Amino acid sequence: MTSVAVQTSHMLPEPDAAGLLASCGIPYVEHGVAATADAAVAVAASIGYPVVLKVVSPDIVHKTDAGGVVLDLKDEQALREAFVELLARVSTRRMDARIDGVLVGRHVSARRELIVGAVRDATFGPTVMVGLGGIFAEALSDVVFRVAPLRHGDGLEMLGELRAAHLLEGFRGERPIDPDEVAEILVRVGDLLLTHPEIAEIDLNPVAAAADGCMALDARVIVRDSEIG
Amino acid sequence: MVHDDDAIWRMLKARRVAVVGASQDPKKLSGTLMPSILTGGFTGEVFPVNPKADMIAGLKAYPSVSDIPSTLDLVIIAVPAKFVPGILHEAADKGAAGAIVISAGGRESGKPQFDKEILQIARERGLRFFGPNIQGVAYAPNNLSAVFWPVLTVPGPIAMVGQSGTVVAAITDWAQDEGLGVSAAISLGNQADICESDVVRLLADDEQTRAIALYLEGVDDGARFVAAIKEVTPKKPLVILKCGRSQRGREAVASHTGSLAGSDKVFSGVCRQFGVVRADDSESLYDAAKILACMRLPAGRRVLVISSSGGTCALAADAGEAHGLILPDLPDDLVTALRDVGLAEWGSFTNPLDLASPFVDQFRAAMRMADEADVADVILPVFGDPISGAAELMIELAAESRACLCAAYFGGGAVEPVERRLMQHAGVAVFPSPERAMKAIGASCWYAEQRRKWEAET
Repeated sequence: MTSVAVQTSHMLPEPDAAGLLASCGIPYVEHGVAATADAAVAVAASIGYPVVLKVVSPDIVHKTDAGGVVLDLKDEQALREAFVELLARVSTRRMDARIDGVLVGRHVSARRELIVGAVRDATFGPTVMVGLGGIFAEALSDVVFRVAPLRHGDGLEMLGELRAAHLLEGFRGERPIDPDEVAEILVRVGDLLLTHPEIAEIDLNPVAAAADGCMALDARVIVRDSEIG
Repeated sequence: MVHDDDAIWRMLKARRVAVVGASQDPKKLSGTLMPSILTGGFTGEVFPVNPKADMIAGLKAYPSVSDIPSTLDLVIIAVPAKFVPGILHEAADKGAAGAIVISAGGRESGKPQFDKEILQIARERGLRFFGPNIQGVAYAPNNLSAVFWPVLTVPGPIAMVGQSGTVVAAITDWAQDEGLGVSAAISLGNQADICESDVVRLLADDEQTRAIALYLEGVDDGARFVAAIKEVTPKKPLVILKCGRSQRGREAVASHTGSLAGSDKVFSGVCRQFGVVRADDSESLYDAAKILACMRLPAGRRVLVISSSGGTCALAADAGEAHGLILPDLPDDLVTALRDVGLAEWGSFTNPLDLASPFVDQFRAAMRMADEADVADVILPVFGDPISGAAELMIELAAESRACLCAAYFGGGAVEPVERRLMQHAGVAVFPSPERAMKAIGASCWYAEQRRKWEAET
């Protein structure tokens, strides 16, 4: 009998990813999961409007493509309508997908958005990446890496090495972001990869950064499944 | 981590060396090996091995390593790959610490099993080896030039190590031509056993080496590499040029030494994190290694540029900004003092300070006064004319000045090469353009900052 080892992986549902990150001290936007519109309204009431809705499904990797994301809902009426429409849209586009509910999160519009990633580099192992969110990181390839474990100072140096560093330092009268908060997130995602060998990759995109703190608004955490012989 | 460094040191400091594949034929590569060893001034015993010759380069030749009537420290192997395993066994029988395997025919030509086979033999027999697929290994403190070329003739403070024999040779040539010289020139080839991490760790403890220049195509073991550079950079400056930044570059690397070039941005991050100066071309590799080997570490980023020419002032100023250097304005009392002694009558009293005068005495006066006024951490005179006596001045001031000194010599006609060589020979870093000087100063400042950061942490 021959057996072929197959390494598969899956993405953690966002509420699980958010819980994991928060348990490691990585700030995550306030949220709750609702199965019904009434429950969604209750979550929104506790975290405050405006809110976003994101479908929670183990079968949907690209939530936006599946019609599973609605942003900037300003009141209860908009939320109720969007909730019903979202479920209808997703179940039409992805008839096969299991739906575990809808995440209701606070809608944060930050002046500056960062991307933070942690991957296992083929040569250097767990590495942490930071870049400016939106088009900057990709179009200008303006990202900086360090290998884990990082020290706080490494995180600060990473931000300083971005070509777009000036944008984080308060441009044209804007308040600068708090680099210490970002550095702490960079340290902790690196540690997370070191302490959790099953995690293949973490992608926090975006991380909202402001003068008074920062938090992840979305997260993709890829977990390797145990080998199936 | 436990390292078997003693064996590698015994190889570099070998007293009894066999040269397998030694040849008299100057048309063969191996024909250059014996002349290199002998003209390099090696004072130990050399045993040429060649079954088809009785004498090679005036020395008795032996049909095989086993026939050599002596124990050995080092065996240099320059014969086709298929003979290498047998020679390694003979080397071990003769008590050698290891071998320099010049022979090609391993993973670079799609035959990784050759590299694995000789590694296994070496492990079983307690040998270490450089290569395979290398141009050779040279170590100045032992006058050992076990290379095709170049022969080490000018001992100096830079250790040049690399995965390309040609890059190693080129930087070695530059350093020797200028009178700066090298402490070691080591090509790594396929690194089946001894790898870049072993070599840089060793050289960090080498007395003659003051800076290590490393040309890399890929890193096989990231964890080992990180451990090595963390150990090296607090002791000695390490400058790395790593190619494979472009897609074509990565393809070229794959066919050259069979390394995976890896993500360039990750590699850059590793360098910044652990205090490695990363060079982006071969000239920057040489320039950064030179300044780190020759000049004290500056206390800050303030640079004063003094020149005999307005054009070079502008070039230096632009380059300074590009490399994060600060060109402070001159304080009023210094300007008054410079005027009072009649300096720069037609020049400009700012930084860069344009003396508009190609005389060494003007440089001397300005440099002394600026140093006394403590206006800069680094003073860079740009000798932009045929200025005789520049070297003498630099050597004189380097010994007494508070600021760190290095020079650019640029547009100096026939006087320039003479002065540059004199300066470099005396250990004063001199660069062929103000831009290259400023870039090197930037590298030196950055490394100095890393050292201060580490010292503050402990």
